[in-house]
Amino acid sequence: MRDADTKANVLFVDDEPRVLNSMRAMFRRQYNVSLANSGLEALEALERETIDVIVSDQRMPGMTGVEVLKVFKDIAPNAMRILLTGYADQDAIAASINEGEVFRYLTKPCSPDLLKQTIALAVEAVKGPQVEANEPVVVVAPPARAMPQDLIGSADAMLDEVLGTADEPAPAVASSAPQTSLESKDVELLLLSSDLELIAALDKALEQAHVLHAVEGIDEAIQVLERHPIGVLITDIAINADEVQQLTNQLKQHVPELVTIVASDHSDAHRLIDLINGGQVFRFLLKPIKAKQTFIWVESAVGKHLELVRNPDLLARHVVAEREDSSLRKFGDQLVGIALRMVRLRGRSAQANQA
Amino acid sequence: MRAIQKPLANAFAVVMALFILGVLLLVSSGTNDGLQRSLDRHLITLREIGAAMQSEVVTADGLEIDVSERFSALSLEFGAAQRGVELHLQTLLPDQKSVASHARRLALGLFNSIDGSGREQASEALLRARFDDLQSQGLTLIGEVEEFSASQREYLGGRDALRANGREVVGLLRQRGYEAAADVVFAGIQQVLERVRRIRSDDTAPVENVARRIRRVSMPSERMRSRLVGLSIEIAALIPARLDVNARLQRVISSEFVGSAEKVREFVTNDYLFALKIVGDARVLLNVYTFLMLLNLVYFGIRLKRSHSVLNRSHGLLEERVQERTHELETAYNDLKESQVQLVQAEKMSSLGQLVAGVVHEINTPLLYVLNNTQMTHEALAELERSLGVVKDLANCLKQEPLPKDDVKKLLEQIRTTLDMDALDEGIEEILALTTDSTDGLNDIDALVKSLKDFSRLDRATYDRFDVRDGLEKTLLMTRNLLKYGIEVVKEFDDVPEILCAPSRVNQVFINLITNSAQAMDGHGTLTLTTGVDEKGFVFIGVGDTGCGIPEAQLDKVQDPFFTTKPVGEGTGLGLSIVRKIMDEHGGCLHIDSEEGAGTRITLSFPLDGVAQASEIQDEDDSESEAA
Repeated sequence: MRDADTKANVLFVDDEPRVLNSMRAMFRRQYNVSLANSGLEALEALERETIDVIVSDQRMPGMTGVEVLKVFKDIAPNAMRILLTGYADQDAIAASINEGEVFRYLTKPCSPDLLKQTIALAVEAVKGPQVEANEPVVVVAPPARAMPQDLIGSADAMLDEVLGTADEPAPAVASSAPQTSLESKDVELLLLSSDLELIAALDKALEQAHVLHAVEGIDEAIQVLERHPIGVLITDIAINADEVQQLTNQLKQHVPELVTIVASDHSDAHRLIDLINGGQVFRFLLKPIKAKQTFIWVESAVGKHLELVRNPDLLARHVVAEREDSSLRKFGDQLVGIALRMVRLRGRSAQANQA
Repeated sequence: MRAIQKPLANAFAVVMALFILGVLLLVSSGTNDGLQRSLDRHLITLREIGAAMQSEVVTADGLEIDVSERFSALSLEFGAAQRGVELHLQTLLPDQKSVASHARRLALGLFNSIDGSGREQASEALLRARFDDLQSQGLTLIGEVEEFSASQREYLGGRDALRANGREVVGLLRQRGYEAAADVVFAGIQQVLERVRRIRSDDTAPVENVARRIRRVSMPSERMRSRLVGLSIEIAALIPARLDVNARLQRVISSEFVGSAEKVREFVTNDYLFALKIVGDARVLLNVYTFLMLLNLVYFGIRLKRSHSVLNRSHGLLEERVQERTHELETAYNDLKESQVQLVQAEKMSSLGQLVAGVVHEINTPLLYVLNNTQMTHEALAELERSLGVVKDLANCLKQEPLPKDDVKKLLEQIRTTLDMDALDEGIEEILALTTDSTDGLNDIDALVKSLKDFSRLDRATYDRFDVRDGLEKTLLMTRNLLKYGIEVVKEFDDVPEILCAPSRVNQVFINLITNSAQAMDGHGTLTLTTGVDEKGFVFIGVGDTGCGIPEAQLDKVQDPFFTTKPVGEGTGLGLSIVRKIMDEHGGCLHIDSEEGAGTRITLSFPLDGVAQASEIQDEDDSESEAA
């Protein structure tokens, strides 16, 4: 972690100088603002200094925004990646998920407040809460809720069952016994889809590497999430796009460790943008899926999940705002239960790491 | 093979049927009842005349009277009857040379050969022979009767002479007194006259004895004796005459004419009956045949009706099928037409969509910073106001009477310590810079909106004088987002006169070509736009790119509708075909030069008022633009 006093370095990339001027005017008081007129200049800026947040336009001469962000993801994975574009190009959006793994996808014109808020969130994810920030921090990390004791008990019981530590009924919180670390193969997958072809293709693609639970409804999905150590959710948008959007949003808020992959046979630009911004979707699978790519993606999603479990600091990098119209609040308690389990799991993993 | 045989067989069957019908008709038409009956009557008459002749002869002989008078009448009757027979016979036995009779005879022969009797053929000849026979017999009979008559006359003459001479001699003898001799002679002559009628050739002695006796009567008178010898000679001569009469009579009686006539009659009757039988048979057969034919006709009628109904049904089916097909074709045609219209529309929408998306992006960027800048300006002004608050306070103080020196001093001190002039300058500078940028951005948006309006020309006349350079400039503005990332645009515009055209259509051509070029260059290259006037006085526009070019094999296909090398869903393949259509509407032409890998140059040339020549397109175009 860098010194909190130091201003965050925010890099803006756009081929229109007036946009850069405007951005500098807007953010120069809070952050160290760097400007790049092209992808190439952005890479030069990366060589000069550590970039905490990069905000890039998509359509530029030379490199596109996604290409720039991909380079940043590989070279400077710590930098929060935001795309700011006036062109809702479906391929670009899909690429921004799968290649750029962007934090937000903002469309021009974007209101100055949203822009400020988003950049503040990104900076916070890198540097921790900015005490001196003028703007109030809107979103706080979710697992800070009060948790009923019975929930804690049941969560522990399930974890024991899953991790094979049930024979050690000592209270988890005070336990100093060596813990079994969570392995990749223990991570189970949940598939929410009624598309038999997709289910079959996925089952084949996974090569039995993980336990796969296939369900057709959101209620069922919640039940499976409660009972099994699900690390990755693969959801078919065709089930009900609105509900899927809400579900990914709710899950990302309550169970941020859960990594989501969305599958669809078409890409609707606006839904995809919502899935990025509201659900921090990890990958977008275009049906019909390709086995090899799917396998790689699922494995990296599992990896991502484990990374998030072991390193909770990273959770802030995927923070999302709660949707106001959510119809899934009725699952609040279950979601809290699932979240609690994740917290316990995280605790054990941390202990295991220390050990 | 069957196909050839069947008509042949049918023709053969028809010919056979007609032939059999003809034979039966000819055979059944064969008898003539009236003729047959009168012939029969004539034959009876002949027979009766024959019989009458015989009986007359016998009677005449018996009564010793002359038959000749009676005979001549009978002979006349006989002749008439015979002629009648002959006439009838000729009618009955038809002329052998007539075609009808020939045919009939052949038909009869055929019929009989089938019927199993060879009689009729023989019967005609036989009948003719019989009739000839009968005729000659008739002639013979008449001849014999005539001979009898002559012989009888001779005999009767001899007898009468003997009687007269005898009476004279007896009278002379009695005169002379030779009573005994006279008695002998008288008795002898009476005996001869009595016996000579019954004389037979083997029994001539009694009469000869009488003649001898008379000759031996002793008579002294020489004269008388010679008379007696004469008498005996006369008696002796009477014997052969009588025998001759007998013989003639016998011949007449023994004539078979009557029997022959009867036989011929029987024969004719039999023949007639046989003919009747044949005709009857033929009629029965004809009836059977007719019945069979009727059955056949009914059968064929039913078959015809059935096949007709089948034909009708299949005709109906065919009609239905044809209608179905027609309907299908119509539907397919309509679908095709519709989908073509839709595709053309889709192409329009897709280029329109690209256009809109590009323009939206062009507008979104300035909008973003104008919005930002406005807020920044607002904040900066608020900051400025806050900073300048103390100056404001100072100004207020300075206005007060009397001047509050302490306050002024305090404020001045405050200004000196707190007011950061650099920051103030910077703030003002920033505001100026932001507002300048905003103004520029708003001007950009304004220009874009204006050019969009100009480009669509919705508020302008469809046909107008139009400077193609304007169109190219506007199009470049519209497609800026396609070109500005790496494509250098070179404009080589020579002065050109305005052309009469539909500017919105020509703009569509430009946008299609420039879009194609931008896509062909994949974002990097040089787009060269040229204008000028060629030797024909046409205004030409060149659109050249340094893109991928068109393979030579595809060069003549690129103007075809639906030809596209883009992946499915990315292009309709109508771009160039629409360009060509619009060029046709303007009487212009389109020329493509391309080298694969090096680039493509498309040259359009417009006549100055080509659209006037193609003015009939106007209506269509109007409705089309309305629909659009």
